[in-house]
Amino acid sequence: MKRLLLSLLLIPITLFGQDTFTIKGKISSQYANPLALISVKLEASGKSTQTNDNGVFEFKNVKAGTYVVSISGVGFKSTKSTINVDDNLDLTFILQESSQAIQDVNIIGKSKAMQLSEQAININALDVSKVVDLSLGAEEVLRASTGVVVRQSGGLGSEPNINLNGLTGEAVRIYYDGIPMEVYGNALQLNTVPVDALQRIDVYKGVMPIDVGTDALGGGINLIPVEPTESQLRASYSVGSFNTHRLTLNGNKNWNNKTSLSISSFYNYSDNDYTMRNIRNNVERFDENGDFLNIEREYIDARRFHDQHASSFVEAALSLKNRGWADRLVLSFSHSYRFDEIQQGKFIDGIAVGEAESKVNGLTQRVDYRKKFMDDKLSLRYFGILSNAFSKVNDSTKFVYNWTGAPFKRYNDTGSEIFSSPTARGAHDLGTSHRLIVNYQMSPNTAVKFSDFFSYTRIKGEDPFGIRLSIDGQQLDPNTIPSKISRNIVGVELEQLFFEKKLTAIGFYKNYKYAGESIDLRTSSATILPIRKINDTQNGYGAALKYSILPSLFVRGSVEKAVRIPTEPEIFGDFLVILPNYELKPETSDNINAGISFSDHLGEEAYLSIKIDGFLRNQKNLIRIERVGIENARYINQAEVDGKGVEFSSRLTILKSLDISANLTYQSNKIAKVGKAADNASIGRQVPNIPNFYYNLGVDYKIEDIFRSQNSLRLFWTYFYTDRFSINEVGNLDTASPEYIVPVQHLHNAGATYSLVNRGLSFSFNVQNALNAEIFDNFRIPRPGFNCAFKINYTLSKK
Amino acid sequence: MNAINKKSKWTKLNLVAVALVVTCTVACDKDNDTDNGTTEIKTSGFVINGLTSSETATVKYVAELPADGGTINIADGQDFVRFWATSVYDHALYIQSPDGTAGFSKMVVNADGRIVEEGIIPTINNTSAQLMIKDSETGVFQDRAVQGKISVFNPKTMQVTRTIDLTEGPVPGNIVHRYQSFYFRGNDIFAVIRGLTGEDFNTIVVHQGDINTGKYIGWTERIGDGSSPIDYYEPFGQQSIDDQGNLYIVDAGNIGGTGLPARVSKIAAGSNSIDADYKFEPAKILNAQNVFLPCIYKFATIGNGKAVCVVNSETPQEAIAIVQAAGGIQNLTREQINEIFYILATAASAQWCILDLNAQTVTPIGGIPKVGIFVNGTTFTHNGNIYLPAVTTQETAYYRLNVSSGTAVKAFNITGATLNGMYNIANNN
Repeated sequence: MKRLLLSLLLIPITLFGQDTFTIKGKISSQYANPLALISVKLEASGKSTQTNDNGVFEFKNVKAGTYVVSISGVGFKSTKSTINVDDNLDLTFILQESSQAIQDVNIIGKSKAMQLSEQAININALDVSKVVDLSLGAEEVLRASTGVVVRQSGGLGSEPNINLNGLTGEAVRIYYDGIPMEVYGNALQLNTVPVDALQRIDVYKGVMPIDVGTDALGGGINLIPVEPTESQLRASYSVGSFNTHRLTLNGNKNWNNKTSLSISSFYNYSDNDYTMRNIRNNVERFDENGDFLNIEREYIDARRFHDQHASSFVEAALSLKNRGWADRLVLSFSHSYRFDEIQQGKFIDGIAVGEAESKVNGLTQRVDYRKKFMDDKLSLRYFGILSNAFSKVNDSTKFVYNWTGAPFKRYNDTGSEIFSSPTARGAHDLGTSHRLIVNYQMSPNTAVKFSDFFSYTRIKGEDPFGIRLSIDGQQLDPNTIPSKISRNIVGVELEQLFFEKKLTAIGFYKNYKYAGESIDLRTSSATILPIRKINDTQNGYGAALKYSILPSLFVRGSVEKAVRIPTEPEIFGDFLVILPNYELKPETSDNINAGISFSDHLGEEAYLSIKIDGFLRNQKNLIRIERVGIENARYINQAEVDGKGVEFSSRLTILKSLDISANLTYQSNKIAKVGKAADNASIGRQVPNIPNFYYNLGVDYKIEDIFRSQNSLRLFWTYFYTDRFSINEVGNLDTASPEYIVPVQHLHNAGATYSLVNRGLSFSFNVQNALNAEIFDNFRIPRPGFNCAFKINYTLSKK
Repeated sequence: MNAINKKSKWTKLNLVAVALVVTCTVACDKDNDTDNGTTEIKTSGFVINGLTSSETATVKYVAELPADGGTINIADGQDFVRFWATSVYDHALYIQSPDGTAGFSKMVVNADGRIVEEGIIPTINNTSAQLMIKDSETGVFQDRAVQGKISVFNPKTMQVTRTIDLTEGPVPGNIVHRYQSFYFRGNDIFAVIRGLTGEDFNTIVVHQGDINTGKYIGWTERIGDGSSPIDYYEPFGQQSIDDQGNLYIVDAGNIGGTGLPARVSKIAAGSNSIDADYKFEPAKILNAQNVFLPCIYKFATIGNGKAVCVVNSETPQEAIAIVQAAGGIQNLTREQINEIFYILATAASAQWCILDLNAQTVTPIGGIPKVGIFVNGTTFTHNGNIYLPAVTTQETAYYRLNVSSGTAVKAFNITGATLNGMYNIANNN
């Protein structure tokens, strides 16, 4: 009776104290990526909303009671949960990926990747969630994209070469979480980052937004690392052909909604000992007395024997959130490591490299600060990084190896395998980069953005075997004199929406400034230290437009004058065979991009997405290497290149679980002007070593609830076609020397993934080059034949 | 029944085997036919070698020279990664491996006019660049992996026959070195050294050996001013011996701005040493005021004690203006010196000249435009005439020299690529 009375007394207090509640929630994918624009409905209350960029939603003033929360988003399985509201709630939902079309959805949810892909600026945001279970590197995801060619010079970890809309080399910048990857001191590389470590890869074609880009000429690639938001532990291990092992471990611990600690790490190892077919091999011949006769050439199937790669990355981050002075502050510390044996030079020769190797250790500290003011109208973000990289290149043996892996009996008196003279160069690269972004939403339809990016690099080292300069009678190792270069890129951008937000217009301006200094290697017998200094300022500008004709159909276009600042080796040389050129000017490119995009549901069980984009480029002052005599080379400004191309991308989802995709690229990059009248015949020719036509087709089929409820089996097959092209500049492919033509290539990859969602486990098996076709990498270096990998993923989440 | 089936299977297998044998035999016969078909090579005509704007090579064969004023377009030539000829002998061109790999290749022109590889000599060091042919049975090269040793080979078989050991020869600073060029005189070989990565010394050091015995004979040197490195550019083929058997070693002086003039040095017939009293400096003779780049290039003997070469003759007005603005040479900064050098290296300030090697006189050749000092192309002879390359902003052409009158007339234009070299495959070197 006393308890009843007490209860009766308390009821009015409770009701008067709080008769409505707030329901907050966060929605993530099964890979812990926050999902934006997911539709959330509180049935029977008439309330519905969408998640924000961080996957967070909120319902206020919810009366006590029992409700059904209905959640749906494109690409994810819809879910319903019953909740009892008798207090403020903080909920967590994890959506499972699905290719099933969404039914009965009032608001279509879109992943961050889909949102980005629909910006006025052409961004191809590649969501890696579909392939995260597979044993792949970031480069494999890019290969399946339109307009991107990724080539390497060997196996896992070898030097990657990106071709984006016809631009290649330094014209395409690679970023890791918005920071130019080279700031990490070469320890991180595009093809060493496993897909597990990423949530997204953003491919920028044409315009680089001021808050992302630096001095990329016609685009860039930004690897977005995983940002776990829940307390979670994820681990994966894969083992594959050529003794390849990949390990990832990512974890996050939330103490409360203000503090969390996370760790992100991966480790790669491979022997890369795949067999190359019909390779030239030099053999020593001796007479019966053992005296050397000759070197002869034979052709063999050779197994690579000195291409071991190991790399690791570990980053620990402390996140402070929802503070009065910061919406988010992340302090992180990372260590990266890379070791590579070197197997060959630029081309496959009759002689292999058997001992040269390189390694680098990098230490970085990062800070990322975000704060919004004035009711979120003004946002500020600053991030900075300080990195120290310690590298060592060792090429100092007198042994000579052929492709059997055995050393010659005779020695190489040169004392080096790749470089023209022995080197054991050790270097300390000190780098720091800072970016400040201020975004002000002046009105619902007008926003202005400011960005300033500053970077500074100092390289100092020593080489006990390297060249020496005679300075005032003393022999000086030029490596000991620091080379320095700094860049500052400032940009402003205005975005205006018109016609009920159907039309988005963006205009921007960028200013590029750089300065550098290095020792002048051309100087001989100087009496004072010959330091050369360079500096320059350039301007870039552009605009982008997007018009939504229908909710499912939009057109967009952009124009830009882009600038690329020469790199340090291009200006100052490499202290070995590349001579300096202090008069080198920045490259510029006038870029025009235009496209149309359609995506919509076709009935209840089908979804279709089609994108067609085109580009025009005029690249001026192209920096390219010029041979100086037989021995040396230097970078010069010379050709002007006109590029044009069209890309087609489509995805069709039918029968709930069948996904068919096709991506096609046709491009033409022709030499438009040359520096010398004698080179006029080159005008109109294709820039060599770039494929013009390539496409891929993919089929992906997912069987739900197989063997047990919630378990799924996913099967996929992808076919890549690359048309023939020449590694030489030629007028006509039909009459060109066949030995320098890369023939038509057909590549088939396939695989399967079995997921036990309730247990957080998945197993995958994927096969690359399933038909064991002859496939080539950069400059006709053979890629592996049939190879496969098995991978296990485990996710432990605290719900 | 089983026996019948077995026999039937055996018969089928036999038929398949016979068919395979026949097919293989036919295929092999066809291969032999093809091989026989490619043994016929062109013994006359010209090979023109050009560089594309991407620094790869385009190479074309023409059977005849065009009429005066005509044009050879090499844009549709064969493509190679590179094509740097160092010697022409018995209708074959000897080049660094055209695919960019380490070694040398012997290239001939087949009956279809295509340039094909007839033999190879792989090397260990991929910068090995110098190969020279002495006669039909003897050629030499250095694998730069092997210090101080020169390999002798048979150009017909492309097989190495012996080694010349010159490791006794002195090297300034005792640094690792390479042989930059080879000169033949009788059975002797003279080899000029540079540092392995192209370092120049303050002297030009020449090692001498015996080709037959492979023994070291001695060394000689051309001494400079004691401090300026002397730049050295190898001549094409064997165009450095005159009718009397005098051997001329030609350097470029110092191209870094110290003013050390280029010199023609002489090893007189019968002597093994550079004649200390013979100091023929054509650029200084042509213009004593030529301070910055008193350089010569493309030296080739033409008989009667004469030679042709490109001589830098004047200082462009742009460079003079920089000197005047600085208030004299002594006030020039390093940047200004570099700028002047850049102007000198690219301006059309050099002239093709006839050198009288005995009288040590320099006579500019009339009728041919001025060129840049580092002009591309190679000289060649045809029907007793000497053809000189002229690459200017206006044209790329060959001019035919009349030695007696000292004038040249335009023979033909080259279009389609940057001229790198032109070779008459009927001639030896």
